[in-house]
Amino acid sequence: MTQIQISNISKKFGHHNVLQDVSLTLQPNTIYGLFGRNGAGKSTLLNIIANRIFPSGGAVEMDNQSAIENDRALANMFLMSEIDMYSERMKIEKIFKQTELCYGSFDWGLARKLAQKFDLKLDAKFGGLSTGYHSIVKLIIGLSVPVNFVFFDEPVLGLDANHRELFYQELLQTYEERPRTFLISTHLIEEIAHIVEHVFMIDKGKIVIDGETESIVANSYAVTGPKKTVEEYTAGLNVIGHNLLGGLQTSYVYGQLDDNRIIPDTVKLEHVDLQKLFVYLTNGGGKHVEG
Amino acid sequence: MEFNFNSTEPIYQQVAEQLTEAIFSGSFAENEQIPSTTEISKQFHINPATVLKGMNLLVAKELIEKRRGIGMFVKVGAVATIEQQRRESFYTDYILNLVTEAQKLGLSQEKLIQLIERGYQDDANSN
Amino acid sequence: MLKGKVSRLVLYNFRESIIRLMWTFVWFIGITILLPNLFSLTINGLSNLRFNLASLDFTIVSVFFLFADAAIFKYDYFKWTIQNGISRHTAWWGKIGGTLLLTAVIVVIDIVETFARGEQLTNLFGLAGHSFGANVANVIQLYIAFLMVSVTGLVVGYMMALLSKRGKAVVIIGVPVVMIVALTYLARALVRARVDWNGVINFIKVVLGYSNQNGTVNLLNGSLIMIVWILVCLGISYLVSQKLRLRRD
Repeated sequence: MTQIQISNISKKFGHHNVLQDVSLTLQPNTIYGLFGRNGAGKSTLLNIIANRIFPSGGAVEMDNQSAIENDRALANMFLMSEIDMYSERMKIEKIFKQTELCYGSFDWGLARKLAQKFDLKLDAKFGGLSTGYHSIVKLIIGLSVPVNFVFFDEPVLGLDANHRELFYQELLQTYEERPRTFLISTHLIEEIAHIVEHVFMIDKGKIVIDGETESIVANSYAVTGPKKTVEEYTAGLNVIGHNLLGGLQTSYVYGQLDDNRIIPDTVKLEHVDLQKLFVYLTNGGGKHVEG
Repeated sequence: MEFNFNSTEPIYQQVAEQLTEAIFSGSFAENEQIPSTTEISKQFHINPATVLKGMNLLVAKELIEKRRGIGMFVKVGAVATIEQQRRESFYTDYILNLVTEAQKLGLSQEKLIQLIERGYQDDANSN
Repeated sequence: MLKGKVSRLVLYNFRESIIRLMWTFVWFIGITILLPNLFSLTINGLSNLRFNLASLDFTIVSVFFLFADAAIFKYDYFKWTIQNGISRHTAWWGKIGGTLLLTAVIVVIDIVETFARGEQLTNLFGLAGHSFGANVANVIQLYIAFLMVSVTGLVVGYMMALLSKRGKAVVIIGVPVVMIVALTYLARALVRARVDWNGVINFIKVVLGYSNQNGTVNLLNGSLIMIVWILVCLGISYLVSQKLRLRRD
């Protein structure tokens, strides 16, 4: 089965290191989440994978062959990004036709169905649409092209709650019908926390978490109790953040707890959800742990 | 059917629990089909693989069964099985915790039994 | 499959160019015939209207178009192809193929127009008054000349595609200004220096195949120079196209 291997990618814009030593693997038929704050390097990484810009170092490979300037690899991926790559003057239907021309085929049935559900007129000009509808056009194309790797960079930008809901439903529907790999980059984690099977968190150009969603949540803890007890219990662990309310402290830990330590009576142990984990991990605290 | 998910427990376990609850309460009757992975996945924005994992948990517990080409069905006798399983776990889930808490509060065994009896009385009165 | 991709792109690019060419003609007719007539209508009434398509020179418009079509929208073309999973080199081949076809169409336009004027192929516009004995050679020569125009446009287009919006503005305004200043300065300097130009002129004559005895030019030499120029342009445009990347402006 086809997979994409990204090894030691770095990217400099001038003296600014936007990406540093990023390595990750995209397996077939998996929904991935790429989470990072604005400016963390998400779009840069996706632009490199999709060949829109060149890395300063490192390799992008599909099945052990460089994917850079490789038509076969490029024809097997689609990147939907914030930047509009289509001509403003063009009608939606023509954009679809052109996509079909380039990719060799196009799921017109799905595209028409989605256009109807999103209330998108196919004879409208791309340039005349709102930001939200620009996203919708690109999402529809992304779901209708015959590729095994679809990258969505901020897919729900400008979409209202109803359209977001619709998108997630249709994404899961088409994923069931034709399994393929999706990589969804966003800073709105909560909405897709249960959709993604595997998570990459990126902070200041580095991958800080690469793991299965389930094991990441299983490995993150909120330890609540009296300040002193909590500090004693979490000493030496990978504490990524604190909350102090009077004498009551919550410490957030990412990684294994120390099984040899007895959990004090006065301390409450809970798991942390992805969103909270993300906030604390990307707030500057904490060490890097592979999940 | 309404699922309420918290985000810290493994989702597949929550799927299994919610489905069990729905079977136990009769929302999904025995010998009837339960929603497909796609339906549950779409409605609650859960990865279909996770939903499937939760369902497989129920298959292992013999609460549902797969009928080829159709889907998942509630097994005949599933409600009884759930009841049986819940009785078995009642001791560990409730009684042991009850005793531990009572001891923390300094309640004697006698007092605890008294309290349980009072609970039964109150319940009878309120009905 | 990849070969199929190139040919699909070639045909697509060709078709889009032809559509743009037709629109150019429409505008050309509009400006040169309809507009004057409109003025005439408002001033003189219906008496003085003239609709003479034959008086228009479509070839010269086409040659301008050939350059312009090659020189604009190369960045948009890159964005469109890379979004659609097409590599830079495949996109380049697709563009070159389209350009070769379009150039052939312009040759046909020149030929048709020449015949329409009732003239011989030796009077083809693109030959600039110099022709071979055989008409096949004339047509080939014409094709090479037009191709030179289009590939030169391609080089300009791909170079511009590398530049940011600001960079483009600087080049579009800056280059002509610098050229004028430089040429003025050069001309003055050369006049003062009293260079002996004979050497240079002789060299150019040899290159162009000029013969002192009968005062003619050997057209083969000119064609060869054009071919070399075309190859250089193709090479440069290919190299530049490989450097294209998404910009943030």
